[in-house]
Amino acid sequence: MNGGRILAWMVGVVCLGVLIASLKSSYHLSLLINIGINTIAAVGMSLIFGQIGQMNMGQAAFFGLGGYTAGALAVKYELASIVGLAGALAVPIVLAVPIGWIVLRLSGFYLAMATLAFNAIVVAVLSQFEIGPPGVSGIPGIPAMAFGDLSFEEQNVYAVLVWTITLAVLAFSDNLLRSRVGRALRAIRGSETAAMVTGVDVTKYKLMIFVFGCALAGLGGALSAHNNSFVGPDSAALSLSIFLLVAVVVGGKTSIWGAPLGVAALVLLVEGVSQYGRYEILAYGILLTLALMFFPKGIAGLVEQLHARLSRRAVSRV
Amino acid sequence: MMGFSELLQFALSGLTVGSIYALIALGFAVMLNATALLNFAQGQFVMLGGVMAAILATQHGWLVTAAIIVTVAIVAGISGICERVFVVGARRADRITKELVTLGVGIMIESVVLLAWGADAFSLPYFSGTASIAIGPATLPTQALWIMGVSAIAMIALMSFYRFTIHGQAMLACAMNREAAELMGIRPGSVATLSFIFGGGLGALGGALIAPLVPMSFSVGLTMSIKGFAALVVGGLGSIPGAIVGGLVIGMVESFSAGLLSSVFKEIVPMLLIIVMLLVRPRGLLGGKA
Repeated sequence: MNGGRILAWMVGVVCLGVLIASLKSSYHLSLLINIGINTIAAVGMSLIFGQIGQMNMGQAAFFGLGGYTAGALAVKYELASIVGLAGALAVPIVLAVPIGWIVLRLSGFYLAMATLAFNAIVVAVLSQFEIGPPGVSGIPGIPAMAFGDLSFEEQNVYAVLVWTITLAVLAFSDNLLRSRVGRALRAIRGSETAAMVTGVDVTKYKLMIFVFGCALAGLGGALSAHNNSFVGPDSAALSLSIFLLVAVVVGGKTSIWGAPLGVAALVLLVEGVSQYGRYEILAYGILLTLALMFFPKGIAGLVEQLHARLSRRAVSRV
Repeated sequence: MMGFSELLQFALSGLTVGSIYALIALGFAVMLNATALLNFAQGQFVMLGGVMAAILATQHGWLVTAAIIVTVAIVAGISGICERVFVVGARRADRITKELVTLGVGIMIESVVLLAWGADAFSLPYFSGTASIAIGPATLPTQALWIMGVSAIAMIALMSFYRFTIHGQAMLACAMNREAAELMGIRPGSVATLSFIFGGGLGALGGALIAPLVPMSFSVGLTMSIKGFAALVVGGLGSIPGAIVGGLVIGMVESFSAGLLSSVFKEIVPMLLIIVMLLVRPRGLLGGKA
């Protein structure tokens, strides 16, 4: 890391810390937690969609699987949260390897359809899963997360945990894209054949990113299950995959920072229009459509443009 | 042990639902051929068709036939306008962004339906009473005959349009090679709009036909789209006969897996079929080159 990036990171961390400390209302904290959790899953979507160009409509399935794993381990087997988190990473990984190996042979529309079908299967299977009161689909009564004596029951403490994980995921992914792996991915995005000829193991890298992206969805699902103290088949609904996809596009799909920007924009948009009561969904649909029509490069693209314009002005002044 | 009569019954109800899936998939295929886009709002047009026809017929006392014809015309028009405004408006964006724009259009349609008519499910009366006819040992509601008959007529009309009219030929030309078609004096923009008018109309017709059997509420759009996708994949992307065959196959598979296994498998088996098809035969049953 160079000095500038370290500084930027420190400023970011401090700002978030101040934000969490200053937010008193549980409503605002829950929004912040929500943005963090969805960002983790969206980073996974951003890596798979933005970096290797695969539209994974099954992201929600892994989110739901992560939530169910963490929930079942905590409620049924009464295991520690850390075991649940490990399980929520392990189950998506174990599933994503064979699934990625199968579906990554497809591309574009075909891959989107195959993962969409996978998502529908997972939702149908999860809806059969009952723990606790019979007749209630899902897992109720998931306890707050705790590591040993350290409990995350307080909302602001949980917000710190969620955002620590979110920032760690962002930092790791950002570094990953600057590493040898990132260069290989850029080569693959440019031309798969050319990358292959220069010795990049295309299949390996694509599978690696796919599995990592799905694992992030599982992690997000686990954090969400502990946050809501409940997980149901809706947590894996296709609409979440679509939400994450839209967030990545609205945020800007080529940059990892598109994920947090897009998620924050969409979550705040939904909250912002909710004051219009019944017109909420309509306002959401209109704004979403307009954003996609007029800013196809997303928020990250806008920031880049603004940055380029400002630096050009700075140069011309000299 | 299942007898012959049960199997026949499953097959008949599969064909009935399958005809609707075929109509939805046909709409997808028509738009896909002309614009290379999957219109994610297609399911919402199906829903709009069902809801609007039901409301015209039951709350305003229209004749069912008139309600359906007017509904199909209105929805087709809305679909065409959506293409003009939103898809053309997003012409600088890449394909996936345009498809997400259609998704946004779908959300808008859903919310307008919710605002205008609420969250209730609407159904149409049976077109010709609830009487059933016997086919061998199985029975078939007359509504199923209406569904299959009208779907078949719509399909034949569409195929004839492609085959015998200059506009149909222009659409086919655009599907084969957009630039070459443009050089021949065909306007791809007009063809795209026309394809959305047809696609939306086919979807609305499907929704209105199924509304007597499956009540329609504002939120069924995405489910309808997924059924259409499934039919499209099984039949072969962009193939018109493929969309019909795919729709019927998905309908049959659903019906048999619900009947022979259980209702959970009604959702699972068609999806497994999509995955297997994509891996084994990605060009679909009737698709040309992959």
